[in-house]
Amino acid sequence: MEREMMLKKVNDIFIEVFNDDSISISEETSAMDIEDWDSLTHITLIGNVEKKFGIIFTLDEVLDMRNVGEMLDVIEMRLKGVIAK
Amino acid sequence: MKSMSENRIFSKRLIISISQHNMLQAKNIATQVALLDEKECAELEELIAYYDSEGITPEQQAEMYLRFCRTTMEEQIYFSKTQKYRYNSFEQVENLVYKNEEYMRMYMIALALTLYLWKSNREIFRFYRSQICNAKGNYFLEVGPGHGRYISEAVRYRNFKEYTGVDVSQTSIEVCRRHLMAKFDCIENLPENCFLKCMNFFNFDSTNKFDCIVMGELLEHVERPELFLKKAFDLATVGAFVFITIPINAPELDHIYLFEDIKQVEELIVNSSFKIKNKTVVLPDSMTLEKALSRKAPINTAYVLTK
Repeated sequence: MEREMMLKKVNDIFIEVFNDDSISISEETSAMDIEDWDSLTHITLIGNVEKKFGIIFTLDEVLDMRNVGEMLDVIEMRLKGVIAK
Repeated sequence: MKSMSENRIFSKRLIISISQHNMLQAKNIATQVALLDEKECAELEELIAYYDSEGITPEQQAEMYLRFCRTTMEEQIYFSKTQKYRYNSFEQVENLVYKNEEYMRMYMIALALTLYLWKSNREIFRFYRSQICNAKGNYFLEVGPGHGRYISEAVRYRNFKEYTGVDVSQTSIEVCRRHLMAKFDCIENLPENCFLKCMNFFNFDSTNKFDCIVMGELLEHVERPELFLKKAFDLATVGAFVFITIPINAPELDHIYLFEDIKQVEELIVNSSFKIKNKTVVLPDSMTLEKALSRKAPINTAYVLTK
């Protein structure tokens, strides 16, 4: 899957989780840019991404992720069949 | 950093250390510290300085706090996938947590910090303080005093003749003992009217009835909360001030009893024969009660009861 397509799908998840149609994320978007993005909504985001892409994040990946780009990196790796350490 | 004046060096070291390691916590800390009043900022500084004097630097405290947040998040992820707490028996968590000295020490210190750094714990502690200052009588009992902040707040008002803490963890008792000694400038022993006992609450017996019983962060840690409330009821004087907290859908490694809604919590209280005098409910930011319940997001409740 193209990275741009991935970003679009992830953007749809953000819109749903934060209930905000105006959200438009980029690879640089982080929790600092979205007011309601806290540890609780982070878990919801991760859960929805896992369901949508059929992948599983490790705890380290969930905790260490600093922005959307790093989220896409993990999705990309998993879709390519790279297993988490 | 709003509300955190320049000379609060221990707090600054802790906050910088936490913020360097975790983006979500960096954001949370910035938000929560801005919500502390001046008195709380001073207390947080004092708390971090106290642990530093115990040989735990602010950077080590930050590590403990982050480790605790990590465990919490791991349990939240488990809960979001299973709708269950990972463990449901005391035996399962006893060795993992309560008898694990290293984990308990980290847990108690991190938990004390969350009284200032987590909205839920700060609001519950504020509610407690607004109520405990009016409680008076002869005998005060706290079940599970843990880090010692709740019992020391009661001791500070000197509204009771004797203060007793009962905790199942020897590490907690030691953390609490040292905190009380430091807080009230005692060199070798606890303040003379304070007593700490390491035992299961069910084995605790007293010839005295208690005018105040505090059970904060306790009922979710036991298999049969109704039996704890019954025991508390039997130990309470008529008209006693009883303070309890109960979290709903709030996973932690050692939370074994899952409360799922407020109705369930209040039925438990009513069935124990206590009467509800006052309560507070702390919701996640930007959520109504209905939304929090439907999303199974953590809700924290605290009740003042009487007999």
